[in-house]
Amino acid sequence: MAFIGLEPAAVARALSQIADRPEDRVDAYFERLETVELPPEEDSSRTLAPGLLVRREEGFAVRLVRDGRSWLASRDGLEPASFTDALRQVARVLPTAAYGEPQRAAVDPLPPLSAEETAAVLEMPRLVARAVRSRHAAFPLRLTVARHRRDVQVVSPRLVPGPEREIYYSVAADQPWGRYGALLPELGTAAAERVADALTASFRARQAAPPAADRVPAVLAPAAAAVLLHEAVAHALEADILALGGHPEAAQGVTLGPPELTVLDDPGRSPGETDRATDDEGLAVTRRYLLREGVVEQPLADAAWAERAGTLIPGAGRRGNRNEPPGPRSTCLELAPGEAALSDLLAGAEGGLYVTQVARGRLDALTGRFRLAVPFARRIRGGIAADAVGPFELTGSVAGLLESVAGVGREVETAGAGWCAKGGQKLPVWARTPALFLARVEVRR
Amino acid sequence: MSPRPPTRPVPPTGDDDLGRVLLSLESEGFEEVEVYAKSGRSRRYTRFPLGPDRSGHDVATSEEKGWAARAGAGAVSLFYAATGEPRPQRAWPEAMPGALLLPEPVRAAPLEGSGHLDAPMLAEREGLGLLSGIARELESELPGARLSHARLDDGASESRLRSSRGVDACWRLRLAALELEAVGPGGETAHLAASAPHGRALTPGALARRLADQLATAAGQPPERDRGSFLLAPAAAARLVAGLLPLVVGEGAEARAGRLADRAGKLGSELWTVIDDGRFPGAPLASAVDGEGIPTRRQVLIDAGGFRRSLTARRPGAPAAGTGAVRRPSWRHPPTAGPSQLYLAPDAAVSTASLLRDVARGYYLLDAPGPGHFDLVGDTFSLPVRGFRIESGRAERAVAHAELTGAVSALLRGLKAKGRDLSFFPLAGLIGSPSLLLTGLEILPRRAG
Repeated sequence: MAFIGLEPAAVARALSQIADRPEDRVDAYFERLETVELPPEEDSSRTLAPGLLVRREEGFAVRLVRDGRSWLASRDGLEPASFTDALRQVARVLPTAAYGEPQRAAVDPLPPLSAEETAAVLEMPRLVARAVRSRHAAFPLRLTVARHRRDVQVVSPRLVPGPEREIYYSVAADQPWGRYGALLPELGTAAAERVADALTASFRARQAAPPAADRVPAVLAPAAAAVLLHEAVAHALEADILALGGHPEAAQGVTLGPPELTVLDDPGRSPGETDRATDDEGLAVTRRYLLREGVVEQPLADAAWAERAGTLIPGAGRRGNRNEPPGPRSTCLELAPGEAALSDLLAGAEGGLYVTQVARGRLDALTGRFRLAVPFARRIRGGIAADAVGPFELTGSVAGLLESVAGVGREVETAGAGWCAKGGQKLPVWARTPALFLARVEVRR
Repeated sequence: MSPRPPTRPVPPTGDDDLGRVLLSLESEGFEEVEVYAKSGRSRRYTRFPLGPDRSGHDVATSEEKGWAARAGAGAVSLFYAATGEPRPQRAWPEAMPGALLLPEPVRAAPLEGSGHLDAPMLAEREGLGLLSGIARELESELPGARLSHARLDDGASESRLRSSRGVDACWRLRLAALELEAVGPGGETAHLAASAPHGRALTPGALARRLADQLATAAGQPPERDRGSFLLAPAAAARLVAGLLPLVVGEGAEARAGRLADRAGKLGSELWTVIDDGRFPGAPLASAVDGEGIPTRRQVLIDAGGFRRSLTARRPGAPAAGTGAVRRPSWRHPPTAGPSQLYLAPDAAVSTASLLRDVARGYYLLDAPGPGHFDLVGDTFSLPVRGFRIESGRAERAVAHAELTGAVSALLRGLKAKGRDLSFFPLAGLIGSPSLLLTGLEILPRRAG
């Protein structure tokens, strides 16, 4: 999967020219992206957004990190001359020096989408429509389906890890009663059934009244628990977010939740073709315990934060694109399963809410408060998910939320936790989670 | 740079990259073909905390070059976008159902007041100096306050577009965008987004004062449920205008507006005049042509309270007539109809001070720390707000954790006066408003979230 078009050894030599201090970190990040998107069939803006949309891009960035500061130069395309130009732009010493252009290397061309791959994208709306009908529901489906392919290669003066490739899918439905979105490791009948489940449930709850503002017990199904953990654990334990309130390493050893709560990030076990051996800085990923039995163990760190903090481990550096510097982000969250069946969790949450979907989440990094927008839920009565309630927000402080964890389910589901857009860098996030029981959580209309 | 005059009918020629792609797609049987190329460069300066008492910074310089082609034949079409120079493909993507109809060319007048396009980008020392200056000024304006995060983007781009219908246009854009986050002495927070035609138009003192004002009001207390007069400063008023965009943007806007109109067909007070002006003098998104190479213009969408038209890609009943209201945020995405500089027209005769004098008892709302919720079908809205309670024309106390709420129809009818202090904010495009004096609404405490 050689795609960078430049000889990696020559790139590494060129990078070593601008690292003129021992503590300097320099690297080159190359990416090749392809998105194939099928817009909704009944899109009124079709005159502007026709048929199948195909986007292909390639480019790179050269970066120098020194003493809490970084310089990055990115370019579209993969030309030797523009690489040298970017190198010169980042160099702090002798910016007018003559840097030699790295030799060209053979490129594996990006193959066009095969007939099978195209058919899978085109077939998905029909599969979802059929699955919705099988649930005895009917409503107009405005479904956008996209296939995403991302090739990444990082080169540094002392390290040239192998290239990485991610392939995954996204679906989005703009319905009059709300927007639904999901990330999928693969398309097909099982994925269509999952999307149809979610769409049908939201359709049937579309006229339900929101619950009253209150503090209630809540059981979050795996997909909803994934979003909650992404906001309240992963974001809260990113080194740059922790630095807003003090030294990131000071969080290590702090008890944040009950012993039932063990949360990891493991990019190596990300589902389908999204698993990674190295991060977007070319460093090996690890199976990272964010919380082990409720205690903070290893916050998420990229190389720069690991160097600054000393006790943090790198390997969680991710980039939304080549124009942005990497930052500490999660890739695939895992919540260690407990022993409770879903029925046990529901039985313990009488009068509370059973939440299967979260439309979006947000953590206010400065205040430590999170918000989850819930499109609908079900009231728990007699130990079962009963009548539907309409849109509301779950909110609270991270500390308060984690303290209120009262049970963890035993059946784990793998799914996309959704797109994360921290700092404007949009990245897919995955999760393997069971259901989660919160003894008390604040509900806002 | 002004757009080239159209030379319709133009047999496509392969004398440049765009022409070669155009010819290639026509030779594949596509009747409607458009090729768009964009190149740009930008510098991003980011300041972030490295711990409780130290800041770090990133400097990122990007050079972008990409292109896109749209092509249609009968009822099918395709969209293809890629980095680099426009290049004919050996295998174009499969054309799928969806008819593409491109606009006919129209001659565009040159853009006036475009001197900002030639402003050089900020050098590294200037960019980082601007962010440090804001941090210093903020500490001086409000002791104990600190700038927690800051990001400045300063960029310029050139675009060229050719189509099989003879559109051949070039245009340039120049824009600086700033995002600031600050923490007050009591832990309260503020977020500020600003844009300008170039980086040197951003002044640290003025930005720091706006942040300090936000932090001062953020430390306020939630109000009791209350009514009265509400004076909204432009930052809060622009959020209201943004919430009402579905009444004037996109297909179905007229029907949405019609549901809120009275028997005389009026949407609201005669003071509601809403304009979209792609040529607003000196504005960051001002351009002679839109994203399809069609001349931009000043379009009155709501005139003295009455609906006039919505922003759409094609004129109603004229499928090949562009409207000059098509936006193209990047080469990666197909164009869509949307606002450029959309604003509620100010009243040049009215000062903010005179508006404030008219508030005997009520609220002066300086800022809206979020987008709010606008249900145009259910006829309700709520907007998070911060400001001051006014008694006898004087600020009595700071108010925060509050929301301004009521019926959308009451909002439209309750506009009693407006000022001359039109300001634009980067919301959906650039949305502008002067200070607004409103009645018939309520302020409520907002649960902390």
